[in-house]
Amino acid sequence: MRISVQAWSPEYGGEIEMGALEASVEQVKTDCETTKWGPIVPRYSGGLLEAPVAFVDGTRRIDARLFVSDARPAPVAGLAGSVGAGSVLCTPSSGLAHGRAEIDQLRIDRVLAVGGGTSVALTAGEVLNYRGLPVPGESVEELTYAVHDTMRNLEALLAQELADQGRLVFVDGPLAVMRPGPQRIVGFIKAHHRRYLEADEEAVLGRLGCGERTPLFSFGEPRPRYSWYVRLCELDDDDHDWHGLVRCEAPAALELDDVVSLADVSALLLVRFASLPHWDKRAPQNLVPVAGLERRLRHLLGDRELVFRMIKDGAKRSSRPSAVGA
Amino acid sequence: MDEEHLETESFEPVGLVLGSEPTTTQEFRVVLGEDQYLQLDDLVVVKTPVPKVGEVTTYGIVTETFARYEGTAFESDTRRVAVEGTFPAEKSRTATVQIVRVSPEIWIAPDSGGEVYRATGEERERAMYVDEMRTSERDRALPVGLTRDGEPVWVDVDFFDGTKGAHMSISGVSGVATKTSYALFFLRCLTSHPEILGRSARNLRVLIFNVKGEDLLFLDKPNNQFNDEASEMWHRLGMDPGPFPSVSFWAPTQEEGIPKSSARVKGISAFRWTPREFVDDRLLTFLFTDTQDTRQQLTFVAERVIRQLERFARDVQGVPGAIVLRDPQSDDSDVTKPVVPHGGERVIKDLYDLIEGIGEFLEPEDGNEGDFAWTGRVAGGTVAAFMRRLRGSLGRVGRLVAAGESRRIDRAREAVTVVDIHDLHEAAQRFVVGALISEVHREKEGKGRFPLSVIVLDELNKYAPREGWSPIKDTLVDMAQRGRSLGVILIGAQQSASRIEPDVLANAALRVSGRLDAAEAERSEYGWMLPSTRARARLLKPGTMVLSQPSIPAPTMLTFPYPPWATRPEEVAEDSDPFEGI
Repeated sequence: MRISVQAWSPEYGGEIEMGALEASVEQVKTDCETTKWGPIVPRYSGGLLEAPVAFVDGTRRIDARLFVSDARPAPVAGLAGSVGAGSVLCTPSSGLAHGRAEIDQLRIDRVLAVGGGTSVALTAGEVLNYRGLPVPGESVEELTYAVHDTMRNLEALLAQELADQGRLVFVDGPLAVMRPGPQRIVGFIKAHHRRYLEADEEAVLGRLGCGERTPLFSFGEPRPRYSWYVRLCELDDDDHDWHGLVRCEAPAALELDDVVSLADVSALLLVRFASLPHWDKRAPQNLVPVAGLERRLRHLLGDRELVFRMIKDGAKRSSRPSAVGA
Repeated sequence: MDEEHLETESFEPVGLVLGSEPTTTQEFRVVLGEDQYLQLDDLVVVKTPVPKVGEVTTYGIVTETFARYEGTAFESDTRRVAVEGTFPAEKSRTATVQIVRVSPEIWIAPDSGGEVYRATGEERERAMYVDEMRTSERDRALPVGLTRDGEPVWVDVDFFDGTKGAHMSISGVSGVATKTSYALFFLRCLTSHPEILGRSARNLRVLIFNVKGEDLLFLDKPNNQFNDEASEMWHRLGMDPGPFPSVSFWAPTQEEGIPKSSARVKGISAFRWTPREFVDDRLLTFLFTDTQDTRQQLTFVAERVIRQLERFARDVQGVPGAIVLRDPQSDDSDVTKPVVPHGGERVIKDLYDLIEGIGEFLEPEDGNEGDFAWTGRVAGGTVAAFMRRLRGSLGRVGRLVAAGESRRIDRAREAVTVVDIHDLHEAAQRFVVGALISEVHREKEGKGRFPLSVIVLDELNKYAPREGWSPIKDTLVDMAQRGRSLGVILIGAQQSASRIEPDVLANAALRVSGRLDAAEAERSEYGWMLPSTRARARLLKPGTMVLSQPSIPAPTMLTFPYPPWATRPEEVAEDSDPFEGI
């Protein structure tokens, strides 16, 4: 018997949401790479390891909750949300040149998600404009999803642009909202809520060594994806068997051989970028470049208190009788 | 720096005023542009629009620079950023700027994000207050060194020649601080710019004591090590490099008329005082310069004896400079006329005679008590101590007093008078220094400021120490306090300012420091330095000094060029003057 304290800081939930681990409803195919399931030591040795690799991540924040009153009998709920997405380009060291990690793209979008299909924009300041985002439903959950989707879309757009430029792209989160073509985009998922594998195959997860991966499996209609697990760290005596696992996804539009290569590359690369427990509260899954990017993005969203005050002022200005007619 | 370079430099901002922390009226930080840099002591300017006022220009000096990876929190992040290339972080370089001037005088902090420019040309001169030193009526900006970037540093001469202040104090570790070298360079700047000095330059007399080595004995000889690079620096300061044109050298008398000087044979004069001059100049005072002497009441006795000597001394017919001691009450002849000595009367021709002559009054051979008029009724022990001290000084000072033609130092002969005392015993050094500075002091008393007299004195701590009293210290303190109006200006140098009488130090308007001992740099005497300057004062190289002057609220770091005059016999240019002395 072992007792393992989760490495993640409690405020982030767990790397495995134990009780919530649901069986996948989707059709999972586990024989696309091999039928003999066991840990795979990556064998890839091609050019992708020497080329710069892009990490894409996004962040979102609800800046204010508000109500929009119009001719309708009751005020309609809305959310002012700021989202950001960006990319870090990591060039590995070669020869005498050290490796470099540079922020490549930074994009900020601000939306005013309002229920009942209402489209309202709000100018809160010279550089603080919330564009209208009509949401059919009216619940706070639906509004929150709409803001979240805005971020996901921003991420997806950026990832696709980078992939179109020929970059190998790792994007934080599943490829679900994306409809990638045959592009080298790998989604990586830090926390595990769904169960994709049967017991026999699942047992392989516990046996993965650091930098090893599972064979490929595929699922997901109408958005088919390949997927695999990678272990990012060595296990300590008191670690549970699933510690340090990430699940990766790659578009099904890619050739199988390419996906096998990508899976190998991901196993080799992600270990290199894994974070350490003292450094990040979600180590090792929260990758170092992504953590740096996230910090920058959150910073760019602006000071929370200041933004809130500006939204209030902006709302007041736009509600003045003189402004209504304008 | 070519013109094109200069142009792009002044039109492109070096950075922006840092906005993530507040700026103040004293200090702000600059975030540097990617392809720009600022180094310590660089001068910058930033303009700030101020409501109701208009534009306020802030000038500042760089006191520290910083570089870091922005956004990194762990020390190990450095490796992640610089080597592994896993963590994205931007290099941020900043510089702290100490504000030295705002114009117009609206004391506001510069706006965050304001564009910071290098201060060049006119802006640079404004940052250094040169526009206030140099008006259309009078130019008082004297270049006295170069900054790291090869631009001149100016001193407001008003604060040297007594107009608004006077005196210079130079501190620094022996050997590397180049204190005397700077003093000489400064003097050369003074004498090379009569158009700036104006009235102060006319008949300016400089008295320099050569305290250590013989390095000041060749000020009039070209230096064979002097090169084009040094020459270029001199020209940049608006001076034609060359040795001092008008110098007289003096060394103590070895034998009658022959100076005791091993390094310099030609063009050096022997000096000494005759017994008559010794009495008239009250030089006995300077045989009691040890700070212990006051406590032992010896100076009290000395005062009596000096007064009696003045009353008793009579010139001797046929022996110039010699005296006899004759009681004026027992002799009613004309005191101004030389006398023929009586039989058995002691003719005083040197210090030995004088001391024995005094002894006759203080310790009569018959064993009686000394003459009260001479001893002032002090205890017998004190009289004995006084005589012991006098006799003790004979070996050290003796050769400086002898009858014969007058060989006192003639400070009017040339503009610069170098007195070599390095070979003398410390007591004799004090005697000579005391004799000469009191002579200058006396000469200027009641005569008005001009012409100015400058005294350069190394190892000032020996003459004006923090503790105790001595007649020399007394004179120096008075000189420091009133020298401004007397027209006597002191350039004092010492290893540690903390060992100098505070009154002397406090009156020096110009303060200069070379390399300082680490502990010394922390003392309050260097409060005029910025913390960054203090830290750097320990590392200063020879030829680099820090200058503080009342006109500029921040100390200025400066370098000064290699001297065109020789500082050692080997450096004397061979072909300088082969016929010299013939």
